[in-house]
Parts: sequence; C-alpha cells; structure tokens
Amino acid sequence: MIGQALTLSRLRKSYGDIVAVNQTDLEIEAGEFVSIVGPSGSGKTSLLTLIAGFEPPSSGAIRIGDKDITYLPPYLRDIGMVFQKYALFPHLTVRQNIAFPLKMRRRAAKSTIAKRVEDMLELVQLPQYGDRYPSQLSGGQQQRVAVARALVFDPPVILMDEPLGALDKKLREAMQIEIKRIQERLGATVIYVTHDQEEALTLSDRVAVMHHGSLQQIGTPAELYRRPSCAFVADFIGAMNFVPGILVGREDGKHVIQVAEGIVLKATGGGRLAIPSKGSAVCLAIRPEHIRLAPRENNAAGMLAGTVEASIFVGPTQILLIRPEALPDVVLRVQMPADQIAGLERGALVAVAFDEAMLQAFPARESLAA
Amino acid sequence: MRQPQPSTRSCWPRARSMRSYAPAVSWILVAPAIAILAIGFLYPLLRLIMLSLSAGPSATYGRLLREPLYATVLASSIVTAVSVTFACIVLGYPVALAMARLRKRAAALTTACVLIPLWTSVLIRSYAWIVLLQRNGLINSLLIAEGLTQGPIKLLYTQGAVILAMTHVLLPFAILPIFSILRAVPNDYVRAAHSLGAGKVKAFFLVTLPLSLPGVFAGAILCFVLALGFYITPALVGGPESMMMASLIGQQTTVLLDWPFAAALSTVLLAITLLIVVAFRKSLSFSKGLSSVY
Repeated sequence: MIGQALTLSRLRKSYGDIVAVNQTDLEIEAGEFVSIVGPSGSGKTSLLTLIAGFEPPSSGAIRIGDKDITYLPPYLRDIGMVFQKYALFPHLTVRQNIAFPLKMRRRAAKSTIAKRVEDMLELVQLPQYGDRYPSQLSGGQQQRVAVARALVFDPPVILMDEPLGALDKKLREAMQIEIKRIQERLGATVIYVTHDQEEALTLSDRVAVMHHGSLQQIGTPAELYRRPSCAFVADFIGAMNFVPGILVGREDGKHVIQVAEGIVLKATGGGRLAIPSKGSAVCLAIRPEHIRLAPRENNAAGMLAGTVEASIFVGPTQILLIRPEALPDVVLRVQMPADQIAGLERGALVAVAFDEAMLQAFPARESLAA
Repeated sequence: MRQPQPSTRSCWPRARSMRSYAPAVSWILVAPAIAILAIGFLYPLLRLIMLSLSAGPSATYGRLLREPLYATVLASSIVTAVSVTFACIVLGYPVALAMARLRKRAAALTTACVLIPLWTSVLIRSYAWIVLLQRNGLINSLLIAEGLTQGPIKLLYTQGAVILAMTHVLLPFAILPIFSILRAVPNDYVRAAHSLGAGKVKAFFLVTLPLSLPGVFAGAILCFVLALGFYITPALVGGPESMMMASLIGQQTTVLLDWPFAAALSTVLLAITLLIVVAFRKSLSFSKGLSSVY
C-alpha cells in the first residue's frame, strides 16, 4: 500500500474578484479513489492545480499524510499527475519518459531504473513499445504511458485531469477498468477529475460534486444518487425529473406540496438545505425509474394524466417522455423495462404515479447545470 | 440527463498537409511562386554561372585557388558568420524565453524592443556603432574618464567591431523563430516536468530547451546565411583585415570591374552557403522524436 491520506482545509483560490475555488474542505483516505465532477468552469481543474502545486492557494492548507505541502513547489511534492493531453515529452522515447521521474528524484539506483521501467511497461501492457516515441503511439497507448510515468516513482497521491477525455467511448471504458485495476493493485490514493458523471460513478469510492467553485457534496456513488444534498447534485448525478410546486404544510414529518390545482404530493425534505416556510416555492425531484404508469381511468390521488411525447429505445429499458395535462411546462422522463410499456407510441394517453417514498423536495432551484 | 459537450482541444501546431487539396489545385497555387523563382532567381543564377565561366575557368576559378588571399577571406567570412550566429543564439535565447513567458503588456513591450530595430535601416544601425566605437566616441570617452585606459583604444575597424555590429543587426532573426517555437510549446510539458520532480533548471534543460531546438536551428540558419553574405555593416565598421566575401565581390564589381571573377566569387559563396546549410540540416535529423513532432 503506497497511498497516503490527502487533506484540504479551508482551501481557497481567487483571481482578483473571481473565486475559482471557494473554501473547500476535503479529506481523502489513503488508498481511496475519489472523483471530482462538475460542469466546465466549476473549479475542479483549479482545485487539482492547487493540489499539484502549479499555483499557490489564496488561503487554506493542503496536507499529504501529516506533511503540510501547501507552499511546497510541485517538484518537491510527491504527487503523480496524468494530464488531460497526456503531456508526454515528444523528444523522449516511451522508456525515457517513464524513467524521467526516477532520474529526477534519484529514488532508484541507476541499475534498478531500467528494471522499474520494464515492470511499469508490463503493468500498462506495453512491454514492446519502450523504444517508440509518443507520436508513434495511439491515444490509448499514450494514455497508458502517461499513467505509467505518473505511477513509476510510487507517489502516495495521484492526480488525473480528465485523462480519458480524448478517447472514444469503447476505449474509454476499457481504460477505466485498467486504471481501476492498477490503482487497486498499487493501493494508490487517486483524485480523478472528470466532467463525465458516469465515469465518476463507475470508478470511484467516493464522488465529490463541484459547482461555482464550491464543493456541493461528497459521498459514495449510491449516496449521491439516493440522497443528493441539493437540487444541483440531484440533477448532475444521473437523470432526474423536477416538478415545481408550493409547500402547503407538513404531515408525518413529510412535506405536503401542491404541484397543480387539486394535485398534492408528499415528499421527504431532500439534502442539507432546510426547506423554507409554508407557502414558498419548492421543487420536487424524482428519478425516472421511480415513476409508474397507471391505468388512466383509475383517477386516484397523486396521479397525473398525460400524453406520451416520445418513446426512446435504450436497449433493455425504454424511456418515455410524458407531458402531464395538469403541468404543461413539465416533461417527465419515465424509464422502465421495455416489455412493460410495449405498444405505447407517441400520442398515447397514459397516467403516471410517483413512488412517494422516493420523492424529495428541495428549495426552488435558482440555477442548475443545464 | 445531460451530455456535456466535449471541450474543443487545441492541438499541437502542425502544418496542414498538401494532401488535403487536389494535386491540380496545389500546382495552380504554387505556380506564381515557381514563376517568380524561375525568372527572378534561377535565370539570373544561370547567367551568373555562365558569366563566371566566360573568361575561362582558369582565369576565375583557377585564380581563386591559386591566390591564398581569397581562401583567407572566405575562411574569415565563415569564422565571422559562425561567431555572429553563436552570439545571436546565446544572446537571443533568453530574450525569446522572456518574451514567451511574460504577461500580455510586458510581452508586447519586449516584442516592440526587438522589432523596432529590425524596422530601422541597417545603415543607421551600423553608423550608430561607428558613433559609439570611434576614437573619441562614447565608449572610449567613458574608458578614459574612468581612468581605465590612458589614451583611446582602437575599437572601430576591427574584427570585434564587425561581430558586435552584425550580432546587433541580426539578433531579431535569432529571437523571432525561437520565440515562436517557445510560444507553441504547451505549458503542460513544463508542469509535467515539475510534477515528475524536475526543478526549474532541470525542467528547462531537459524539456523546454530540447523542445525549442527547431526554433534555435531555424534562427541559426537564418543568422548564418545572412551573416555570410553581409555587406554594409562589415564594410562600415570593419577594417582591411576583417574583409568579408561580400566586400570582396563588391570591390571586384565596382572598383576593379572584373565581372567574371566577381561572378566566380559569388558562385563559390553561394555553393558554400548551400553546402553548409544542407550539412547542418542533415546533422539535425538525429532526433526522431523532434522530427515526428514538428
């Protein structure tokens, strides 16, 4: 196990009036794989830049294990980094690229450098490519060399800045598995920046969601999916339906929310944000798989009649886009096994019911990532 | 569900391949250039070579070989050109590096400092050196005033003055190619070097410098070729012992009116220039990594 814990405390970075990273606290355990996700400009790359030491923070502290590295120059930090465009040195061969950190750090005796490089090439499954130049490799191969170069000197912390962004989908999925395999084998602590939330959910022990320079929530993929702390996270992680409404009361610890004339739903208060007082605007969030189709004639409470606007085939499941009659501004996304909704075409009249246990209420959204 | 747009990534600069056009279009596009080259360069060159042979090769090329003076002038021209090139690269590289690293306004100011002399006449810049270096010029006055020398020392009309003035004149030709290459080297390479444990000095010598070598070579070839054929500056600030090939050719055409011999001298100078440039380029193809990038 080579990984070490990484702690960020009250870390902040601003450029003049622009706040790139806003008072961030983050504790990453040794050997943990943590992804930082967020839309472009959310500050995730800025955060990585601070951890790598390419720029000093405006305030706050960074620690690896017990060591304060806040103002240490990058070349004295023990951090391996995989860059978005790999940044392999074009004038050096693959072997020379991988040997570079060992020579710089004088960590290994000359005689053992060659062996370490060969071991690393083996690990990333490129043993026969040592004498090639980076430009003679494919994108996926270059990416693996970049990983090998970042890992060869056993850094306790590894940063990856959208390392798979330039690869096509098939290759990206294969590389995800490979990165995870290497990380688990070495026990390295990895911080992985990506704008692809699916990638983050696949790879990570925990996922941190950033928005407007602030950390919104950090948790396991399941936590983020089931208990998002705010509407932004609910929207960013996975697919989510939002229905605007007005808080009319509380009952059995649940919020009673009116979404349209005569339609009242009960929801748990989602996340850490307190729901404002009675009469204020809120929004209800529900996942596509928590909406059921119901017989149209059975006009029970909490049921919405609507029209199918589109039916999208996605393999084992089918997605229906349904516009409820009572809520003309909302299109609900419903996802269920394809065989259950066979024959429902565009224009079909249906009714939907929400699984109320899964319904969460958030304060009315001001801005979402969309 | 949102599908974030992949950000458009800037690629490493790479010349567009000719293959993206149909061959016929390519030929039409280069036709004017070929025509100008043929009429303005190849034809006169051919005439020059014929002229050099018009009095019989023994009278021109034979004389070149027989009289040691000409070989001496040629050798001293090459030595001067090499010295000037070396000085330009050594002095120009730090300036190019600073220009590439500075922020907007400072970079613009530095660029102006490099370009304004380039737009000034070579004649004026050469005369400026005469003002500075002459017997009772600024430098001698300063030296005497400081008591460093008894009387004025000979600065002007020396080999040193030629190298100094030519370096000044040719410096922008070294700075600009190096600058443009340094600008194109992505910052990520330096960051990668730092994150892999290379300090500032090592990152420079192991990453920035090798990646900028194509600019250094381009600047060096430019300076060398220009220096080898330089006329005005050596003629103004140089003495008889620092005569360059160009001055010798000028003397033959304007004073002695021996045109065939001047043509022979020109042909030899051109041939040697080409030979050195080709040899230089050949010796550069050592680095496979670089040639596959640039």
